[in-house]
Amino acid sequence: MSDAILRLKGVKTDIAQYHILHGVDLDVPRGAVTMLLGRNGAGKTTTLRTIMGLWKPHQGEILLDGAPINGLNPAQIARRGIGFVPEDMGIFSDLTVEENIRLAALSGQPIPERLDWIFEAFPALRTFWKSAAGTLSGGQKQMLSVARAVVEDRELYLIDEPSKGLAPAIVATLAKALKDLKNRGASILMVEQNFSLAKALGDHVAVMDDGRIIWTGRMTELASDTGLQERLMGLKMETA
Amino acid sequence: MMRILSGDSPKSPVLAVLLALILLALAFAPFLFPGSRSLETAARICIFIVLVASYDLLLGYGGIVSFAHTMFFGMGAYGVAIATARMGTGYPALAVGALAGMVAAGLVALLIALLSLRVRAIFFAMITLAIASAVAVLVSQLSAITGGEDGMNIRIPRELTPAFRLGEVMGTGINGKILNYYLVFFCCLALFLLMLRIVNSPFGRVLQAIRENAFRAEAIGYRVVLYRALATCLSAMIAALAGSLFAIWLRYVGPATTLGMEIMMDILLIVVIGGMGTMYGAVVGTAIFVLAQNYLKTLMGGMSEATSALPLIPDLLSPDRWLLWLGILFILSVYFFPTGIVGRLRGTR
Repeated sequence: MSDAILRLKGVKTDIAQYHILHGVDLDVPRGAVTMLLGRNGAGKTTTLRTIMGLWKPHQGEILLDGAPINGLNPAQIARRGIGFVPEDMGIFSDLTVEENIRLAALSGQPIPERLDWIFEAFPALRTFWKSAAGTLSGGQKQMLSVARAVVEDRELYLIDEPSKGLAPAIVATLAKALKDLKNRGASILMVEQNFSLAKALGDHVAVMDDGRIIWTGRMTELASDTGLQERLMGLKMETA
Repeated sequence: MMRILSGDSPKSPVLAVLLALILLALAFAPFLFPGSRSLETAARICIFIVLVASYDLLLGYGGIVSFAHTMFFGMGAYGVAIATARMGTGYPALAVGALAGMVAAGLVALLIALLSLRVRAIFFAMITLAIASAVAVLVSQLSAITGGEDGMNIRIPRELTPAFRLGEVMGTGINGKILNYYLVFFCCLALFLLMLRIVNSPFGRVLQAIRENAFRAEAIGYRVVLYRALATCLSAMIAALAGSLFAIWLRYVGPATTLGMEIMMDILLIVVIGGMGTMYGAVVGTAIFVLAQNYLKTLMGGMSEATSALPLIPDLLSPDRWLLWLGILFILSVYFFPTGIVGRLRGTR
């Protein structure tokens, strides 16, 4: 992959006394969606958190547009142009929906066109614009979490299991919004356990196991090969 | 009106009425409640509203637990005392003292913040406790500068003392003490509105976000340490200004009146009673707490006398037991209003 927006070279991360990432090598292509798949505990979330600077790698290099970002703090990394949607959503419950979104616009003011797009993708956010974010349902909180990341253009979006624990109707709304984001040419690295959603959105795939990338390729290749799915991820029921 | 309140309305009719009553009572205190004791109480309420609100900015909005707040309060008070001792009686001495106290508090707060805000919250609290204790001891020891345990009397311009008489309004003699009260009242009002503006600005929102989820705020792109340090400095500087006003009002400063741990405990209690992270909690909490501190004993004396014919009750209501009842009031308020009085009135979780 020649035009990689993000490149990880031999990244090793420890959390306390545990070795979680054992040398991750990964290229995330520009303007495409890369799905990071793997069993529970494979190190997917740790990979995203390491990229974001929330965990410090003790070895290896992380390059954003060719420039090293490992060693920077999360605020500096975010300001280099990475939008992060964490697994736990991380919304600010005491602030209103509006305040959550305005806070995420580092320029100080969200672009009206982008706000219109957010309201179109997630109409519930317009309805609860002035409500405390803590009063939203789980699905609405996830919408807010995604909306907050996309309120401004970013070089790269890191999205951690957006469909986790959500009702199918909410997942469909999120999938539509993420597909729209993809069609706008965004570069996305996304962790997802829901393989149907991963297939629908992903262009490229990286499969992790035991803190390493064990397979990379195109999503079409993985989606069409049930044997490969079973071997890499233990998926038996999936068909192309 | 909403502009003056920086868009932060009370959000509860009961709270709005309560705040209006407190404002009116304080604004017209010299006329509504004549007498030096009530004026002392009103001035104390004004100053403590600012002191508690500045602590709420730190704890309620920034999520930072500090035990050094009275140290900053004391810096402002001693700033005025030392400046008037060196420069003589006059408004420039008061201004220079207040300014010096504020700048010193800001610098010390910045130093503490940059050195210790990276550590865990509990360690930061311990560090502030240690520094505050060390400064209190230092102030007691440096008697040549601070007056030691005896403290310092402050000479203020004659226009602000009871000796200065201006005439009569609504049957109340206007003297320098009342002018001094209004100096305190208007300065405190301005400082409170300034804090309301700060917490409702984008800076205040970031502080709230950091309090809720520091990692997430950092991942969005906000330097948590920087924002916390700035909040610590602002809070310390405003506390110092409150200390300066306290010194001007009392015309005295001593370790017990400004640096004591009892004052720090009072601040913590008032923040909890009023409601953290609300600003208005400082107003309601201070009014209730200071009134209870000043009048509960008298009230209990009256009630004890009135129930003298009954068994046990007069003993329970003996004025000597006022602290016990204050403690019970505190426990009840925490039990019934876990989010503080203002939190409860606003219907927040």
